[in-house]
Amino acid sequence: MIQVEGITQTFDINRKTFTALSDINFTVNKNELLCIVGPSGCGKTVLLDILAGFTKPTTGRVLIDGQEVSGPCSKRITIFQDYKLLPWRTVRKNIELGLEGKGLTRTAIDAIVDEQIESVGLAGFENYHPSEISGGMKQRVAIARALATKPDIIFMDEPFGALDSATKESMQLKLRYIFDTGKTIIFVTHDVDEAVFLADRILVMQPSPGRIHSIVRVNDPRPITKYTREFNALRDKVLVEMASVSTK
Amino acid sequence: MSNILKRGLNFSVSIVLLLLFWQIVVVVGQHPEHLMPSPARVALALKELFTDGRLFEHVLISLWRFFAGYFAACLLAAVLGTFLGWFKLTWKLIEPIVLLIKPISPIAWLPFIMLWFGIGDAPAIFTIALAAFFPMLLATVKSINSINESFIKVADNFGLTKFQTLFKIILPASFPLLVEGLHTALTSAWIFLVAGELMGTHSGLGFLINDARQNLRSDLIMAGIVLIGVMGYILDKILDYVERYVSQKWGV
Repeated sequence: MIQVEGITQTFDINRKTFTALSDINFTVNKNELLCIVGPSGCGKTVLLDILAGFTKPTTGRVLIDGQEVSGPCSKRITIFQDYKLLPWRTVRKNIELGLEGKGLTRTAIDAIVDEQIESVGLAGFENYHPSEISGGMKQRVAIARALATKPDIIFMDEPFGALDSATKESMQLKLRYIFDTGKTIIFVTHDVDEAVFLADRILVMQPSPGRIHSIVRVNDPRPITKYTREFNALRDKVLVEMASVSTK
Repeated sequence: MSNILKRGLNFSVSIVLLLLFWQIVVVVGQHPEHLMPSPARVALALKELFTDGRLFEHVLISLWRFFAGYFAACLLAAVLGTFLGWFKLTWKLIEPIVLLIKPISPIAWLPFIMLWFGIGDAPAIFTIALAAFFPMLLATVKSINSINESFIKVADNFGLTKFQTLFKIILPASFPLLVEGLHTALTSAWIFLVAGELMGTHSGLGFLINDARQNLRSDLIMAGIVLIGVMGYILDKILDYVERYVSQKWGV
């Protein structure tokens, strides 16, 4: 379980104090998929950075299973929109990154990497470099790299934002499958359809200063495909929440 | 294939233009032979050097001195630069010293170099090393400093130790810039090859030129100059190729 308690984040820019996040409180249950949506500048990415331990909040704290987060950790992996693959490593070597120097044998590492390559459908591309594969494939490498370390929590910062719609669609299905294997996922997006399709709950944020506007529960049950009547109803509900953010 | 052909043609035209210009200067100027040898005279001088074996002797000894100085300096600069780039506070203290010494031409140090290293290979090697050292040092520090923060983020996330981060992330990530540094250092060091060999040696291209000057053999001086130019060009092209290969491989 993730507990976010009274997070505030301020930055000093040109001697002016800018409040990026103000008094954020929420919890995420184990094996829950929480989407964070909101207009740009509402502090989604800053919030995710704090949850992942990359940034220390100005005030407040994040507890994960009762332990205060003090820095990043390989049990909680972040997947970025721009993949952040190592361009000098092959697909295979990129996926291996989190497994090296952890006392695993070569055979053990190879077995895990093979399994991940298989599961994200990259067989045959093991020895390609990131510059030689498409955006969707790069993101699958990033996902495989994250899953290889068997994390409990995955943070995703608009991971499919740069992909074309068909690729995006198939990646969303893949993510739901990954989620069903028992992961807690926090997913930042500005795509409401994506959020409604993936999430258990959607956290709607509003800007200046970044804060929580509302939390919408969507999976009762989670829609099987997009654009059914139930899906549309949920989407409308979220869009209304979003609209009330922008008119404020 | 046609690309290579095109480049070959380009190169040939440039050379022909240069020779033409040179010949015109000789013909129109009517300079005495010892002030401006003609291309034909220089070609004969090159042939003379080639047939009596002096060409290979001088070229080989120069190349050995050059690479000894160049590689020693680059290795030292890369190790030191990595350290200084990694410990930013140390670099803040060292940077003014480096920037103060860097603009001093190795030639200015020559009297001291002669006193310190005597005669033979050592002063020449040291001069070349001095010329290569600072460009490589600065390039290394810069490449370590300019590493993309997001790679460090990934390293932290996957639980890499500081040491693993250095060898698995920072050094490979800065490799293209390091190769660029090697290139700059090579250009800088090659320029000082002759200077290093002007005094205290009895071999090498620098000596060849200085010796020819004392014997009033302007054709041999020019032959030495041509050799230095051609070899510098080839070395530069090799590093050009390496640089392109690396940046392609690195996907940058």
